[in-house]
Amino acid sequence: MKRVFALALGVMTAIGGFVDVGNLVTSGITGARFGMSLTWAIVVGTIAMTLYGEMAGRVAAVARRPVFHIIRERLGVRTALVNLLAFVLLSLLTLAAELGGVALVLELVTGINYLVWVPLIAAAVWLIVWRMSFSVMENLFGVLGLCLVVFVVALFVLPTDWGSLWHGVTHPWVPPREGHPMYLFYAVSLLGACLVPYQVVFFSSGGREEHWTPKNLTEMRFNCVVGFPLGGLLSIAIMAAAAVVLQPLQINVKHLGQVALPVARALGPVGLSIALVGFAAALLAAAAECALSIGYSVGQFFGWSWGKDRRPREAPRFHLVCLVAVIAATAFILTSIDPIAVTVVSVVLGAAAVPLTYFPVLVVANDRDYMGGRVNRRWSNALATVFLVLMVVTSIAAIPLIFFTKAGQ
Amino acid sequence: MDAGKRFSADEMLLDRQIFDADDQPLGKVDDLELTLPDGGGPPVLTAILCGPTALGPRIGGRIGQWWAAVGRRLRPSDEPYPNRIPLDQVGKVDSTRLTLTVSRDVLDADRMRDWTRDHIIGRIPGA
Amino acid sequence: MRAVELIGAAVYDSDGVPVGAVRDLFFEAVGGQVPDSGRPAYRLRALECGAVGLAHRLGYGHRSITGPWPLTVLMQRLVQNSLIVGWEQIAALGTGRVDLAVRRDQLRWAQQEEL
Repeated sequence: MKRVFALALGVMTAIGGFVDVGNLVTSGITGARFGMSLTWAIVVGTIAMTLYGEMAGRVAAVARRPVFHIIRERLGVRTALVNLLAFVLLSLLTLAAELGGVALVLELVTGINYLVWVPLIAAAVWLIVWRMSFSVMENLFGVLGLCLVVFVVALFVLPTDWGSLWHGVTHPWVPPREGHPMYLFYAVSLLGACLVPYQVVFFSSGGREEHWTPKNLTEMRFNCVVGFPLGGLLSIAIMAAAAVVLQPLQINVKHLGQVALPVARALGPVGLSIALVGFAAALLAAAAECALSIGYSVGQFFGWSWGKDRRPREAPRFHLVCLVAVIAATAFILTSIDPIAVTVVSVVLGAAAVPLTYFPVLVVANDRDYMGGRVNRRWSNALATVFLVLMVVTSIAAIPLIFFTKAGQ
Repeated sequence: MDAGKRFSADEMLLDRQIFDADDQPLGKVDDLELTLPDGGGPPVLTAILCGPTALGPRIGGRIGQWWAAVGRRLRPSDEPYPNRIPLDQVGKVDSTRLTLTVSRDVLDADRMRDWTRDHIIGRIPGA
Repeated sequence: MRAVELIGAAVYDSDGVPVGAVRDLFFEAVGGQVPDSGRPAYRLRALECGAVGLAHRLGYGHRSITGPWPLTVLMQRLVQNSLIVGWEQIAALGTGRVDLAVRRDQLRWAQQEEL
């Protein structure tokens, strides 16, 4: 029984860890603008995340190396440093977007301008990083994040035309009012939201924090294979809810409140408040994970002591980096730059940076000197290679698409 | 140091995580020290080098110089030569791990950590 | 001497023909021991020189990497083109430059080398 409970908890945290501001915003926008025609991007992104997440988890458990140890060992100092800088800048942008997202939720609830909330949320995120134990953080927010299941419930309450939703899924054509570049831009944004690099850094570093050994492999795989796809399903549900309610009204999503609108329509204030609790929990957890990932990556690159299971005195530079990251992201979002725009740009730039983080993981997962008999199987290599090629193509296309579509405007 | 009969720098040493005798991390193998023997012949590996003053030259360019300068400030008497861990303090080295035979507290090789702890993090309540 | 002075240095043969850059250092245990430790001392046996460093860094040179398929073929081809310079074949060490006492075609290919 205890084991079942632990497995369930792991799955819930995987779901919570998967869904962050990027998924909420991109699913909401694309559902409202493109109906279900971009579902494939979430499906592809989720499968790739599951595959590479499992690999990173296996490397963390068997070779006892988190992602940025691998990056430095396998890419050398200079390439790894470029990689680190790209990762840190990108994660700062993501962190800013998550902070802004929580602030927008609180603005909706209280009516007080979101900028007032930003410093308070930043302080809360820092306290989570500073004091809260790793397992409490993961479990508490993972479970609260499950409130997002309310989107699935809403779909059943709404007069959903399942046939036409399915038709959209199976006919991924560009809607008449949209152009091809716009369609591709949002496809990249959905892929980027599923594959944000901080997720895999956090997952593997978390594995080291929890001292995974090969004994934990089954549990880790179960979390990946069940948790991440359920997270992807949740993203699809949010997209579908937007397609059902927002698309006919031709609403262009500019605020997190609009993403929650379908739930309010279906389930009234109670549903709305559950959705908002889910938003806040998922984004707050993502913000903390993002700040921690910045600390993890820098600490691992330089070989410092890092991690939440050490007292701050024992890992001072790790905590300093996390603190500076939270302050920098807060300052950025306080410039009153639109958090939704920051989110969209961050996931697309994230898509551009994905191969940097994922490629070394793939190589090491094939290294018998590290992994012994637990190297990748042939089929997972074949699949991983296909996804890697796709990621590289996406990465090359991402930045031109940002300019060409004016970041999806 | 015990690394078997033959090994290559890339395969076993450079950029590896160093763990001390208590399993605590103590930086990376940022560089290697080779000494030419007095009697001639090939250079002998005498120490592993770590910390910013060792890493800076490997990064190269402005960033590398700046990082090395940060490290030099933290060294006693502005010493530019990096922290060295002599080979007799290095234990077993294989393709998975590099472990020292001493505790990191004995080595005094990580002044940057101590400085950050004493001047910044240690002053925040709850540290 | 520090490893950073060797790794990346440009290598030229006795006729001044470029051989590549130093990618890796090979060590071997010698009879002597590090004083007081009972452990073997290591000396620099050879340098590995090649045009492309990435394949080496990723470990496609001497590690047993089993995949993924198109990458293994590509990387192993890159690694094969690197050459081994024994310490005794070096004529002079300069800043960022290694001059050899032998011609390029007298060097051994890396793939024939037992690590």
